Amino acid sequence: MIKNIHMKLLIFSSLLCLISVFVLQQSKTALNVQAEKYNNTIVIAEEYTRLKNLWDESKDIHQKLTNISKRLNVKNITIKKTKKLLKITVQESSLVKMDSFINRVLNESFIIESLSITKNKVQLEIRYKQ
Amino acid sequence: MIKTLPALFEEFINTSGLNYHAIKLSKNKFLGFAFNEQEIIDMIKKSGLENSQIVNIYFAQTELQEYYKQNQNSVISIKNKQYTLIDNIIVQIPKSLQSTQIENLDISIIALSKYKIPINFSSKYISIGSSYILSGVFLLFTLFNITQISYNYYNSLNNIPTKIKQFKRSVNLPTTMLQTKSIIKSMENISYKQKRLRETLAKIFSLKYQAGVYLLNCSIKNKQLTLEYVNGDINKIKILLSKSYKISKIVKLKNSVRVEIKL
Repeated sequence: MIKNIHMKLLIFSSLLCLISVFVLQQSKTALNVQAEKYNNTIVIAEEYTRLKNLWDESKDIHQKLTNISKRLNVKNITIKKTKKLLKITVQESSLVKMDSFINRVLNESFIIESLSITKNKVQLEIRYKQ
Repeated sequence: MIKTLPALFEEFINTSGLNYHAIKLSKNKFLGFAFNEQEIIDMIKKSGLENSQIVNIYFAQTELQEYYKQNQNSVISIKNKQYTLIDNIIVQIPKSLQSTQIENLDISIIALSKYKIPINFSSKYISIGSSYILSGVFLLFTLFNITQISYNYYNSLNNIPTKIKQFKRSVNLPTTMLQTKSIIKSMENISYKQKRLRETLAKIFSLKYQAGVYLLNCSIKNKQLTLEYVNGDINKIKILLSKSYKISKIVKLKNSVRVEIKL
C-alpha cells in the first residue's frame, strides 16, 4: 500500500484518466449509432417521398384523365368512382385515338388494376386510394 | 534554510546523495540535519517492516530533548548502544568508552514531537514533483475527456433524436420506422407490378402485327393476361408468346385464338 499522497494522487488520476478514455469510446460509439440512425432516416425518407410522389397522386388522377381525353379529343369517356377505384370506359371508333389514349394512360404513373382493350372500347380500373 | 544546509555540511562530510531537514528552534536559530534517505528506507526494509507500517519518522535529537532536560548528563542505552547529550547534541558513545552507569530507556514512553522527517517512500524512478505534474496532466486529460463525453452523450441522447423527430415531421414520415418500411415495401411491390404490366403490354403490342398475327382483344386482371388473336396460326402464336411468357391456356375459337398467360 502506498503511503505518500503524491503517489496516491498519481495512481488515482491515472485510473480516472483510463476510465474516462473508456467511457469516451463508449460515448463515441453511442454518437455514431445515432448519427447512422439519422443518416438512415434521411435515406429512407428520400425513398419514401420518391415512391409516395410517384404512386400517390390520388387527387390528380381524375384531372389527368380528363386532360388526356380533352387533348386527344376523346369524347365518349365515362369515369365512375368506387371506394378505391376509378372505373374508366372509353369508346372510340378511331384506332389511332384509342392507341394514343392507351399510350398516354400507360405513360402516367397510374396504378392500373385491370385493363381491357377491344376493337372500339377500353375499360380500365385505376386504384386511387391506397 | 534548507538550501543553505548542503554548503554548511560540505565542510564536514561528503554531501552527495544526502537529504536535508531544518527545524526552527528560535527566531534566528535552526537545527539542521543531513541524512541519507535511502539508508533509512533500507533499514526499514531490513527490519522486516512494511512502509505502510511506518507512520512517521523522527530524529532522536529532537525527541530526546525533553528527556535530557530532566536527566542531564545521563547515559542512556537503546538496543545495546549508548547515547549521551554533549553540547546539546545527542551522540553515540563509542564501545571503548561505554559507561557502566546507564539508564535503560524504553523509547515507547517518549511523547513524540511535531518534528517529523519527510521521507519519500515512493519509487526512485519518479520524483515528487514529476508525479504531481503527471497527475496534473492526467487530470487535465480526464477533464477534456469528460467534456467530450458530455458533448457526445448530449448529442446522442438529446440533439440527434430531436433532429430525427423534426425531420420525420417535416417530410410527413410515419411515426415509426416499421410503418415507413412497410409502406415503402408495398409501394415497391406496386412499382414492380406496374412496371411488369407496362413491359408486358409493350411487348404484346409490339407483337401485334408480327408474322400475320393480329391482336383483337387484350385484357389484364389479377396477374392474368388474356389475348385474342384473329385468324392466327395457333402454333405460331404459341411459339411467339412462349419465348417470353408462360402460357397457361391456348384455345382455338371459331375465328380466333385465345391465349391465357400467367404473369
